[in-house]
Amino acid sequence: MSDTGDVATDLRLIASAGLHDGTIRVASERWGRVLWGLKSNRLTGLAVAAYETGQLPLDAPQGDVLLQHHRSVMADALRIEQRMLQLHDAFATRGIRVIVLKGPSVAHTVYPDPAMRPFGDLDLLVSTTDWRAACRTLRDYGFTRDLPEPRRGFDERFGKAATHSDESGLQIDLHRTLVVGPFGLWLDPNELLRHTDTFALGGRSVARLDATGLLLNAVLHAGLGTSSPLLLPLRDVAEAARSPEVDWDRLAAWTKRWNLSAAVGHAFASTTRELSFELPMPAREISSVKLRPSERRAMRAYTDRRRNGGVALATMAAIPGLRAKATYVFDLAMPSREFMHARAARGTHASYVSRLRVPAGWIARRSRGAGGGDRVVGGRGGRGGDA
Amino acid sequence: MSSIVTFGRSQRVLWRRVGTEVLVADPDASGISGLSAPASAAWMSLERPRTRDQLVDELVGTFGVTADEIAGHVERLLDQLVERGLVVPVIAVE
Repeated sequence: MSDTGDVATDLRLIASAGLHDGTIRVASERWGRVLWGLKSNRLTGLAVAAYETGQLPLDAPQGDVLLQHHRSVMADALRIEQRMLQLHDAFATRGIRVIVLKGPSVAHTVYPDPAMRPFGDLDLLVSTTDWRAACRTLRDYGFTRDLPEPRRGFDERFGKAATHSDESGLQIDLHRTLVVGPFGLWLDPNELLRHTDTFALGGRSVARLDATGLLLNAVLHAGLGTSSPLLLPLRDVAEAARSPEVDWDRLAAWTKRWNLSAAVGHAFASTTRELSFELPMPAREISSVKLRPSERRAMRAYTDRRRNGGVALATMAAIPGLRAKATYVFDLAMPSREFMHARAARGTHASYVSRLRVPAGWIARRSRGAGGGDRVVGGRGGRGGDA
Repeated sequence: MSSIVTFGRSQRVLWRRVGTEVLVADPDASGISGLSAPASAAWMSLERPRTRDQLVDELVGTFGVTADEIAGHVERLLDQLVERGLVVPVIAVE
């Protein structure tokens, strides 16, 4: 029997349910907070699976409430899949190749049951050359881009993704690379797009990354998506790493060539620690690679320096060429009026002066000799490629 | 020559099982619906295509009733599921 002592521990155990044997007992006085945590961390599917196998014993009212919440979450997932397939057909008609990332693609390929893996939005990857056409298609099908690009051409040069929303509130992150910041710039999305597979859904054959690309995406999302890795993305890593179709040699080669060792190692270590899950030997070998200083600096930008413009500064450091760096800083510091209006409309404080403070702070810090190009000074903007 | 009719899930249908209930969605429409308890049980049994009699046998075990009691219900249930496009009949000629 697992000895559960607090809500965080309960959630970790439920997030790893099925990876280990052993009963997960949640004290009744904690159940309300655990249920809240299951909902907010999208862990209801794993909890229901554990409840049904008896690994998570609940009394009937607790089980009913859990199922009720999970029903709502699954209805949302189905609505997203409906919309996804309608868009899938629209993109296909226009000759735009779209790859489904995360959510539905992991739910239907690496989990034993897609009901175990809820999702609340949609992530689509397109090649940079299809970027504008894909944005137009989303607009034609009722989606509005949440924020315009800071300046014309920023998306294709430096951007990671743009969020689009429709009237129902469904959000689609249209990607041209997997992650924001330096790691997203270092990896080659075109190579990922050469290694794809499909999954069957709604009578269609939907494109996704192959097992190796899917694992890399799961790893980067888990390791870099938030300052501290979240449980469901870590479970994605564990599930994806169990796939016999992963080409570990290719993953190791990509990790080395694209300077991703720090990010991959961080995600693998977090998966092992948080889920007590022993990854396959090749994953441990990839994690044991000695890191380059540039990778260490880049990694810090996503973790302890994330909230202080760290990703933007690390992105600038990763952009090759002084001219391109200057363009990046200028685009972020002096974005278009349309961009500024959109930021203001979203209730975000937006002024050119405040935006200029960010690079000014970088320069001031550097001139004081306080730590070189990877150091960060506080400021408002600075979400890197997301602007 | 004789023919055997089996019934299987339509590959077009989006669905999830939540407890004993199955939620279904048509990808070319909006809206989600929950199947009734017998329909959900039938859906889960149709993971592999089955004849009407095979489905009756499956559901007898699930609901603890006799085949005679349930046969008529299963017939109507299959008609409804086929009409809604959720289940497709496949005719094999032997």
